[in-house]
Amino acid sequence: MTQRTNPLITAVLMVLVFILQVALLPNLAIGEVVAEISLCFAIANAMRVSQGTATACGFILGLSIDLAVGSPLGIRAMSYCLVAYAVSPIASMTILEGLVARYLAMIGMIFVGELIIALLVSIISVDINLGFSIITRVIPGWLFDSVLCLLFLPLVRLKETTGMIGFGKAKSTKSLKESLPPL
Amino acid sequence: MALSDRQARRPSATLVLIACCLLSIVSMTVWVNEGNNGYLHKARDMASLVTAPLQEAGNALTSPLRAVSRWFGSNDLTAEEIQAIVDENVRLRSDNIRLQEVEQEAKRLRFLVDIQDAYGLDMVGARVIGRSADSWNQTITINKGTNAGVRVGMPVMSINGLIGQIESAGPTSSEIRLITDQRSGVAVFLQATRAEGILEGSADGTLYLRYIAMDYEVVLGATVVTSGAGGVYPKGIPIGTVQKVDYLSSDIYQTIVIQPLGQPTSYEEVLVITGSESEVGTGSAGNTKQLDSQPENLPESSLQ
Repeated sequence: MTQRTNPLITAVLMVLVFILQVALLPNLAIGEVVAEISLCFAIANAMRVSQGTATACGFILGLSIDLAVGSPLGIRAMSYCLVAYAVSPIASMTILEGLVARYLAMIGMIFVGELIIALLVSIISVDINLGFSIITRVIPGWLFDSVLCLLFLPLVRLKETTGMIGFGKAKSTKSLKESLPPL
Repeated sequence: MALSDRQARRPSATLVLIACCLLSIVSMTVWVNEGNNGYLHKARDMASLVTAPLQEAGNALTSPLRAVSRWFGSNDLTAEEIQAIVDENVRLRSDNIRLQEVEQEAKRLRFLVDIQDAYGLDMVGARVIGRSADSWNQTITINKGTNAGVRVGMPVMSINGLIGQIESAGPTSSEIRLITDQRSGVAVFLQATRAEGILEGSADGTLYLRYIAMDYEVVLGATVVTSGAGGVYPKGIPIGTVQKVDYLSSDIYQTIVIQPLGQPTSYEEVLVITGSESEVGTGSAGNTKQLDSQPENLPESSLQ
């Protein structure tokens, strides 16, 4: 089922997440580990919008973070859009209707996203050991992100309660069905 | 019908994914192959015009939090004593923290001036306004850029010694890759034995001194300074001390862990060694301005 979402809200959320990632989170790092709230958002967003939109949003957000962070341009863009593409159909599975199930799916996909970033970094920088990176970066980052992605649960929950996310009159599934022309 | 027409006009998600992945691969390839003067690197420098003020604001916003954390970390008080102080006068403590911050800043700035005089190099003082926004890069952002004469490749010092090298420079801000970053490498020698090696960062931020042959006796606590080889860093800048020495009987080289003189998270003001482009940071050994020995009037704190 394709949800109607307000693109303005998505854009505002993306800007807010970008600011948080670039300005605030580096100063709240635990040891060397900086949380990737942008990855959490890309996944949460993929659970509420269509697959194509989620993929495009993930790509744009990832590219912006790459540009701000100074890492090779495209690493996060690729990771986020791949993860968002994968999450979108998973989110519509019946088994993931509960909030806890969605949270578990989110943290699972966060690990995949972090792993893709680690893989791309180790491919580009030949002197970086992938195994060591997983222990020192991916797993601590994943744990940190797992806590942060709790912030996005309300966003994911909106999909269950309303047909319209963001501003505008909410529509129930029934009224949406009625508005469609007869086959 | 209108809805299905609109849906039909939209590209499928798989097409979007393929396009995004192709774009990512192309940009990664271009990024890796182009130099620091490439289009994508220049775009990143221009993006720093937007991100630097954001980082500065974030740094200022979280500085009270970090100041309190440092304050607690620098005092060996018991939990009861801390609780007693908190109960007695919270306001007085916050005033005290603020004044300590001012005093420490004044001390740091004085040391920076002393270091500049001691080395006799042209330097530009700068304030740290941001830190790496991801876990994969150990970088810091400073509030001086090309407008202040900062260029890519220039070495950067703190009051304790060498901390890194300018990675990218925008008009009003620059990014420093710290020596603890896994992509960093510095030509160094042990001050006492003059044994030369390469200091490398690692993923967990530990500094390793590589290529020191088994013949050399390495003493714990020995000071490591830049050798000047390679032409990027001037000779004689202190970096750290030997923390641990490890080797197997079958090894050719010793594995030496170095304790940096300053913690990367504690840098607040730094000095960019500008000199002239022909003197430092160009990577050309022949043109490098090198110090022949450790400056005699170097502030004591830098070697503690």
